[in-house]
Amino acid sequence: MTGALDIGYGQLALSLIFILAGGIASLRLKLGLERDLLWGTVRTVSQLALMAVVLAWIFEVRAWYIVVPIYGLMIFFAARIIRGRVRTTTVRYFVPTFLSMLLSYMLVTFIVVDLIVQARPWYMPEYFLPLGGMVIGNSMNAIAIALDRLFNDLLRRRGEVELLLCLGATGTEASADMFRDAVKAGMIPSINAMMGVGLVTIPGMMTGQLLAGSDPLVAVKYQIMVMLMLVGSTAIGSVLVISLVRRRCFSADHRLTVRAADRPRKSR
Amino acid sequence: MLHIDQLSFAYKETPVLRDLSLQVARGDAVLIRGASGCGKSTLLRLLARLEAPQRGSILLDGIDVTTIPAPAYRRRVAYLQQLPVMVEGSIRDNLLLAFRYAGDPPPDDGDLRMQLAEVELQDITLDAAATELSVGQKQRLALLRLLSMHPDVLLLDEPTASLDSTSAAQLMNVVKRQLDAHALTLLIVSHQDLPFEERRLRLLHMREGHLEEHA
Repeated sequence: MTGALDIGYGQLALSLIFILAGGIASLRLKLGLERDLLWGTVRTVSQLALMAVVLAWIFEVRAWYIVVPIYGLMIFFAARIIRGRVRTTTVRYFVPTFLSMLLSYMLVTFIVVDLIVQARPWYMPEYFLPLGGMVIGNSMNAIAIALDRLFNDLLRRRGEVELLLCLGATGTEASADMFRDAVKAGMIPSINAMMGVGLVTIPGMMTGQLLAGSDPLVAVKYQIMVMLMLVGSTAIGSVLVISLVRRRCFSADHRLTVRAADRPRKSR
Repeated sequence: MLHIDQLSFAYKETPVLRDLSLQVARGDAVLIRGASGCGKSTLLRLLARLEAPQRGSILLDGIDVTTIPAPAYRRRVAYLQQLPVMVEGSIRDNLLLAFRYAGDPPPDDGDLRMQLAEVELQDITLDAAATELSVGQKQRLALLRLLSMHPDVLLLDEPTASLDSTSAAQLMNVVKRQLDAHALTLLIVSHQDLPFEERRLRLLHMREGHLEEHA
């Protein structure tokens, strides 16, 4: 690999003109986004700078007991983002969501790095963390969509669920339709992505590899693996999360306990 | 047979029922009247175990109902929702729902048609879409669906609130016939008058989460 062309700090500073464009638009059109733009820029720069430091350190230490906990922490942050995005209800879904994400993403990332790419050691951070990060980034959306759909449907179709309960159904039986719809809603975007890839988008990972001087064929093979991996992780993640959280929507005596919370839904 | 003992229920810290007690003997028919929002429907939802009381207990034939598995209990104490709910599908699909969870062998179309006649719905076909029926027809179909579980207790939540007088009379006729034919215990809550022979009903009033016997 020849590596990508380096960008000097002065050159990087030049990319602030894009934020300037956004800022001017915000001021002229009175969008009130100046503060958010500024804050977003500061966060992007500082979070990524921190990441560079952390990654450099991880690549140097190269120990599984650093790589795996860091990955766990990334999953934890993803679970927190989901909590901010999903319609709030009285059901406490954070812990089961985090645990199922942890389990399914670790599994998928391990299969990819150890069995498919065959990186040695299996926790080789240059592979484990970026690929794992892609699993999280994509499947996080799937889980947020699936959870939102589950809560929404259980609230909206309460009458139907309670009808089935009154006819002797268990909570699981009474919510079978909502379970299916939620998992499906989570899985569809990653399947749709398989349809559009290469026609509509040059995916991020491939872009990175091409810039770093990789052979396009190698880059494409990686991208194929990534697309398939994302279908797997969204499927396993959604099924696991929705199974665990659905149980929390019913009491032990099969009452539907999910209610809309009073707390207003956070933005985004 | 149904013994409600000092039942209390609050919704988000707003008390709805306060130490409510009531005994209903087998075969009794009770009508609970009261203003909208006084807690009548909550009482029925508690009896159907769709809500759990904060305090107090419900006994069915002397047994604390929380010791009975809820799915089996709900087939014995059948609850008719205020607005009849039909699932997507035909009338047949909706009627067979009552057999799906009990493991009972489902009846054939001939049986189903006879049952439809019992609730004065002999003119509709089993293949018709259930969601396209009128509210009155849906209500009778929903009642029939409950009755096919052969419950001991029937809970009717504002059964005529969304019906015109003809449909209301038809529905209550069906209820009356069931009462005559089976030893069915009946609890109805309603904020309006029912087309029903008053002498057969024990009339109670709910006020501020309590029940008062009507003179």
